[in-house]
Amino acid sequence: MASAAVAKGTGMKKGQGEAHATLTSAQGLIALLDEDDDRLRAHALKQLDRVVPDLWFEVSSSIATIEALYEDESFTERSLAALLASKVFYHLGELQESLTYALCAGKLFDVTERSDYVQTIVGKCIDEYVKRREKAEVSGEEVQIDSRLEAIVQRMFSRCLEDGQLEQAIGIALDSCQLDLLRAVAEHGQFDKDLLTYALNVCKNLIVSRKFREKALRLMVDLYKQLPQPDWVVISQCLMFLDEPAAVAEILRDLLSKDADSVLLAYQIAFDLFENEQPQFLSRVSDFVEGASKAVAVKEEEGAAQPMDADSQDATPSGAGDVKQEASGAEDPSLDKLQSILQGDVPVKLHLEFLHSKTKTDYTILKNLKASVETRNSVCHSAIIFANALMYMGTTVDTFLREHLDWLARATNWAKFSATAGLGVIHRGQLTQGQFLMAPYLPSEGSSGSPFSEGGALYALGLMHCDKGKVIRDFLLQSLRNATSEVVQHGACLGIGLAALGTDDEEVFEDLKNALYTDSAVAGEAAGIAIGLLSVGTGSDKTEQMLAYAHDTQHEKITRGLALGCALISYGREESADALILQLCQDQNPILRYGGMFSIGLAYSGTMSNFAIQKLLHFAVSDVSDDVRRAAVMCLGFVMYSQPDQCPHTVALLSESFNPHVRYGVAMALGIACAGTGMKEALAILTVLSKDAVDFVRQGALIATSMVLLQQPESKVQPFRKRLDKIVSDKHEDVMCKMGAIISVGLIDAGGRNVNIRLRSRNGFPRLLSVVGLAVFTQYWYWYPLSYFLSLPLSPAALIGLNDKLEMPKFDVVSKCKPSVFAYAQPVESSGSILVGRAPTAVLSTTAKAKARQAKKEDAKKSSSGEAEKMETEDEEREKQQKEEEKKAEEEKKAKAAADATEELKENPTRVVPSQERHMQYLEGSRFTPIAGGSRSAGIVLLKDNEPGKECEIVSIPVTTEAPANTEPPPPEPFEFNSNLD
Amino acid sequence: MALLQKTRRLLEKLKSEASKGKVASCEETLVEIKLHLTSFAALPPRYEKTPTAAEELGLARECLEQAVVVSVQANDEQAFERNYLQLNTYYTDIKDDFMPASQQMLLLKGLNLLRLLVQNRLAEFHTELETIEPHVQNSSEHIKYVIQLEQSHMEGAYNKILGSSKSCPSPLYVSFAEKLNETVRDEICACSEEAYESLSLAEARQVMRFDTEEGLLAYAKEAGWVVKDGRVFFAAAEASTDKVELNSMDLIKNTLHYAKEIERIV
Repeated sequence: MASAAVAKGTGMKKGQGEAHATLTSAQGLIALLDEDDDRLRAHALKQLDRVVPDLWFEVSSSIATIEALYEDESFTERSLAALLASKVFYHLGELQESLTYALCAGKLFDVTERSDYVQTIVGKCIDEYVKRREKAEVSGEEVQIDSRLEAIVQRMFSRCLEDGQLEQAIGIALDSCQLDLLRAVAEHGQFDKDLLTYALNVCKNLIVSRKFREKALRLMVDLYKQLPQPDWVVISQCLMFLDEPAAVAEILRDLLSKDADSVLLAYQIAFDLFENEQPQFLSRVSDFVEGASKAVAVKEEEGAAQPMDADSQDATPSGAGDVKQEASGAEDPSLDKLQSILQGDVPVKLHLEFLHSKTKTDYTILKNLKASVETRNSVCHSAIIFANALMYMGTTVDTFLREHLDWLARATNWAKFSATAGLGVIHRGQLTQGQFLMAPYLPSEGSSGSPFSEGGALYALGLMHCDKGKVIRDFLLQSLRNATSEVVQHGACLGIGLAALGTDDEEVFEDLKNALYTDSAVAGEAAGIAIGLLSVGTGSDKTEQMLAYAHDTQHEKITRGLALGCALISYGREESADALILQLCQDQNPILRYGGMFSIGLAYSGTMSNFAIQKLLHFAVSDVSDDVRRAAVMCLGFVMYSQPDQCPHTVALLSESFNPHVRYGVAMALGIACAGTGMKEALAILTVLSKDAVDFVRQGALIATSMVLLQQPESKVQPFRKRLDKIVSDKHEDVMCKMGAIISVGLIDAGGRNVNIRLRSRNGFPRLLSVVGLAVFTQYWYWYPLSYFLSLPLSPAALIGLNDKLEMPKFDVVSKCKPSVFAYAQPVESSGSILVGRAPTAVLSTTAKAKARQAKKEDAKKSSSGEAEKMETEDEEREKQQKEEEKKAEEEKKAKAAADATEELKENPTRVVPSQERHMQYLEGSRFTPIAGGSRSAGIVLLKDNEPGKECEIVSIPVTTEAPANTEPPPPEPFEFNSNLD
Repeated sequence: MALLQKTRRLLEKLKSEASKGKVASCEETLVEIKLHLTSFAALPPRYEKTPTAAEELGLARECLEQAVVVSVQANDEQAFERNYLQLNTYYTDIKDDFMPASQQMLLLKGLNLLRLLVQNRLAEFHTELETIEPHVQNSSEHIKYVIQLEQSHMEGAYNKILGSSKSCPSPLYVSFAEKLNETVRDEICACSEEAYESLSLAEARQVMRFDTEEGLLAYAKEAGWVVKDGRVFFAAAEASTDKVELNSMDLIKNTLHYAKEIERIV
């Protein structure tokens, strides 16, 4: 009977492969665990291990027995029990327990197995390991790590290497803070450029601890140097982050001494470094380059050593340069060029030339603005002046102001201060001409002008020379000392703060401190901010004095200025600013907590640090002061701008807060984090906020929207322009909202429609100047003149190609896209609709009669003088009409052709907006090719001349800085302020 | 093959030892048999289709059935449970057309049910009962017997249970049936505790069905009853006063809480 059954069984096997029996319960095996014989138990464990994925729920009820087996030291198969327990806990979702037992299972836990269980536990294992290593790294203490844990991670790591999954290996190495492992990956070979780029990105974006990030970057630099063709651009960027000017200088010197291509590369590196806006770093690099060159020179001609020594003590490179040229006539011209790039002269000049020549600002827009706003309203009036300053930022075009002097004269007191400061924005970057341009307004001996225009002029000088203010420093300092009025002091403080940005100059600090201790609210506030600007990002201990005074003073303005100053000083310090942040955040005074929020935002700017985000969110919902909450939300933007796509959903919930201050903060946070991205999610939230019931929320939303929409394709911007137009011309709109709309109109067309806000350089490092500028700009809430700081983050969106002489050769690039997509906005037609708003002047009957009489007389005269004239004019008109028609037809043709074209040639220099960058291509077989790879399609690009012998046409822009006296339009006349007009 | 025969020989040895009542040597042989069984591939949970699969399974089942019987003889409930669980896999997992059901199956299942009844594990009792099909329940005298006992137990017809050990369908049932008497007595005692404050010794002996007074006294000592003046006092009264007090406190607390809640809503 049994054999028959077997036959039947095998038959079934052949037929359907159906099993003759299926295990439905593990009870039998579990019962075996209770047997006294160890061999039976071991057998049971082995069998249970096979069935546990299906029957874990039965096994789990006797987990205690299994654990007891593991605990039993006399039991030989303890590790088997551990493995089984681990699997049961895994199925129960108790990963921590599961991991513990998996570790106890030793070799039985097979990391190469491709099951969910193993993958999950290995993942957990690595997480755990990373957590402990990170803790060890942060706290600096030795943390006990289970050697078994380490062994598993090690096994995984070697498996990654064997399988060639190097990216994962890099991930493990960097996550667990083990540079040895990273080195092991490198030694494993095949560490090519792509992989290095990946590792570098991980280093920059994902490593939380600054200390370890520095270590990792240092290693990255070493690895990059080992490449057959080291990427010097990237290396020097890393060195910049590590704050090692000497090493950068050495690289630059090295490149300069090589062939022509290397020299170009050196220039390119210098431009890229400049783009990062680390003024202090650059000046130190330039000092080091100088120093090294001198050292060489000294060796070469020992006799002339005397003046050199004196130089090397002199830290100011400009002075040193002069002397040096005198001393050694045969100086390397390329070195001079490099210095002029590092010191900012060349890039600033190039940007100025670009903005000046390419300005596309629509004058009509301003005129319409002016016409549609009630001039008696000083808020809107000064908003228009600010909008004008933004629109013509850096273009040196001040026509609007000069044409409307009467209208401008309505600006009194602080409005006058701001208006004068606006000139500085318009002439931004006119380094050599600044003082001359502002001369009519500056305080001078003997004549005493209005303190408001004097103060404004000093502030303007600061804006003009921002962070390149060596030339102007002494003058501003002198003005600060001489100033008697607090208004002038205010302007001088802001001016010197901007001019000496980040220099940490002791002398300037002393003077600012004196201004602070006068305990004048207006001057003290500016002094507080200025001290912050002076020592921005240094983390210096000046904060102690500042905080002490902030507690002493009675003036809220001073406290606020100092709080912001402290925040600026902690810029980019990350963990090392934690002590200050804690102190500020725990203060009783809400103004200092407000400063604390900005400290978090700036110290962790662009890091996406979870710590910072958590802290800010906590304050955003729990602080009692509206100001603090507003600042907390706003600062989320500063922390998150490195990954703008994360920002909208983080703040989405806050945008529905009942508190209007929080909603305003949301708007600004989006504006800051998503500036220039045109991100849909951000715009969706902002659109809702711009219809908010509270006026200042609408204001913030409008400004933020224009920040987000900067340099976006016109098709996206057009609806927003229309909305702004409507708000501005609406008589019943709230003033606050109108002001926001006017500023937005200015911002969206800023810098002649050629500038953008970029808080990160193309290499992904934060740009100090831009971030600081935006942070101070947001203080316009309390003090309108500070809104002019918005000009700091605006930088040209341009592609500027340069040859080895740092001139712009004639050179074309292709934009592989419909020209209309990225075209400038169409000029606005000055429609009558706005003018209609003006009431017709009443005409008295008597005057009408008198006029009629006069007209009769004139008619008589004309008719007598000749009909021929009339005929001529008619002919002329006809001709004109014909010509116009022809022109129109031509234009239409052109427009049609343009609409059909799918690509467009762009001449050097050209505007390239961010979204256009990926469509840009260099022509193949062109005479000029970029030195540092073809992927670079914006910014200043050094071009290699492939036909060096040939004559080369240079684009010359008749710019002001070259021959200033002749081509520079005269500055506007000093206008009279007549207070009776109002 | 050799292993199969060896195991079969061991099984014979076990059977003969069991019939002679040598419990200790039985257990030794049993361990040896089980160890042999571990090396058969056709056994659960592997169920591999070896050429001798049916034979292996049959032998293993027989061995385990014998193991259960041995544990009943040794009066070892734990061993019984262990062995039965191991055996049960063979009853549930293997398809009937592969291997005919064991003749001893119903006998042992009934025995297992009886054990659960003895241990007062009624939930498991019913779970097990559900796995037996209704027509089998009605036709098998083993199962019918156990079901009858369970029903009497539920009804509280303790007399019936106490008399049942005489009508066992198999001699194997006797030892468990006697144990059931003790279970029933526990039930009665628990009821008496609640029902009476005290009972005279004679009454108690009758109610609780002790054959001798010594038995009653020993039981009373174990349960913590006080025997005084020829009466048994149960300690239940003290506990009940505590309960009342606790309840009133809870009640007050709850009421106050509701009152507060109502105010809060308004």
